[in-house]
Amino acid sequence: MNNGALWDHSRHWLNIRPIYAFGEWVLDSMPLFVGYGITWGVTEMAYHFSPDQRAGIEANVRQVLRHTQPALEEGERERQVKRLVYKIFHNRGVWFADLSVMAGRRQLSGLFNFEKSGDWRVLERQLSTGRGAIVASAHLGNWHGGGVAMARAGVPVRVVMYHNHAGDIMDRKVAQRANVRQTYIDSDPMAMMEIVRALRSGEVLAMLVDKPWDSRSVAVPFFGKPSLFPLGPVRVARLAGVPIFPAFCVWDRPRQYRAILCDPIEVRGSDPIEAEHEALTKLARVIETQVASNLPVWFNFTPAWSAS
Amino acid sequence: MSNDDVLRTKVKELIVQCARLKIQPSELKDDSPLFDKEKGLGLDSIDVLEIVVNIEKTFGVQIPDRETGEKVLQTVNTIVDHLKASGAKT
Repeated sequence: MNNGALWDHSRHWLNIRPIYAFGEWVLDSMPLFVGYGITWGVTEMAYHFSPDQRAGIEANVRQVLRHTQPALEEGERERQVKRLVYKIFHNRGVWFADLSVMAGRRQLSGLFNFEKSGDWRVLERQLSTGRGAIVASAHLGNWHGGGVAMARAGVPVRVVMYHNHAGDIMDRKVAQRANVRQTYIDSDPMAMMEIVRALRSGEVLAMLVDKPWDSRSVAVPFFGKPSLFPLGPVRVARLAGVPIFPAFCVWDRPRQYRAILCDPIEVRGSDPIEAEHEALTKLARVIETQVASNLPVWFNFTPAWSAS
Repeated sequence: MSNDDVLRTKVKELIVQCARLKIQPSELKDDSPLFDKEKGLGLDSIDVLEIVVNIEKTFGVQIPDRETGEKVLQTVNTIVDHLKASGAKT
């Protein structure tokens, strides 16, 4: 079982299996307005009784606002930080509720809408070569929904992930319903063989790339300060010779998602380490842009700059 | 130097280079477990990827799936055995 960075990051009194199971049952069995109502109440409690997570988000949002709106007067910035943090907590509740519904037995067509944004033909062209690609996302919006959206569009998706405290059972259900494959890489070095095979057979590997899960991380600029990003995705891309497509699944209105596919990033160059660093810098810049545009759904509960 | 020795030396060089180990290739024991953190080299999943891709580039031999990987990527000896059995170019 994973005892690394992710394990610590995701420690929370709500992040336990019985809560997830209860949430799934409520969202699956009761009328949706009841399920979402209960979720709102639990989220309100979480907001008031999660000082560490609140402080983490506050620090992150504050840095984003400092960087994107430097002229903002400090008092006004703090008011915006408080308002955004409250909104982020409640959006996280919506995230949980949507995910529970996706994991359950309800008919998803008509309930969720996934609107495509960006040039998806570039990904289609890449897959038509017979080689796969890496889709790199962040803790922004509903990343599981992004996998579902891709699979519904006929893209063969495999999610590369770490075990976590409670969510992996729900992750598995969502993935199974959507025909998304999963590979856990935290406890089995040989899992990488499955990843190589998947890329060679034209699958898309989906990864979350905005947190330094292990010791292989590199500091790159992120909202004006160096922040650690994991090296794994760019190294896999370089060695397998496939591009990285940054992608995000965000929402403005309930269950109306926008699946954003960004331009691909190639990891190429005569100096492999420099090529990886350059690609990681580009990737961080794309994530930065998307986070700035979708700040109320940025679910990074640990300070993004503390580790670097 | 026999062909076997040449192959073994190349495999050790490849492992040291791929995993960025701070030792000389000659210091690598033939039977050191590659992934054991206490008794061996403690390599991780990214090292696996580097080694598999570079074995393919250097020797023209594929390790196509997880089952083969589990058998082959145990020690220097098991890699050398697989390369010999696959008719690796040296």
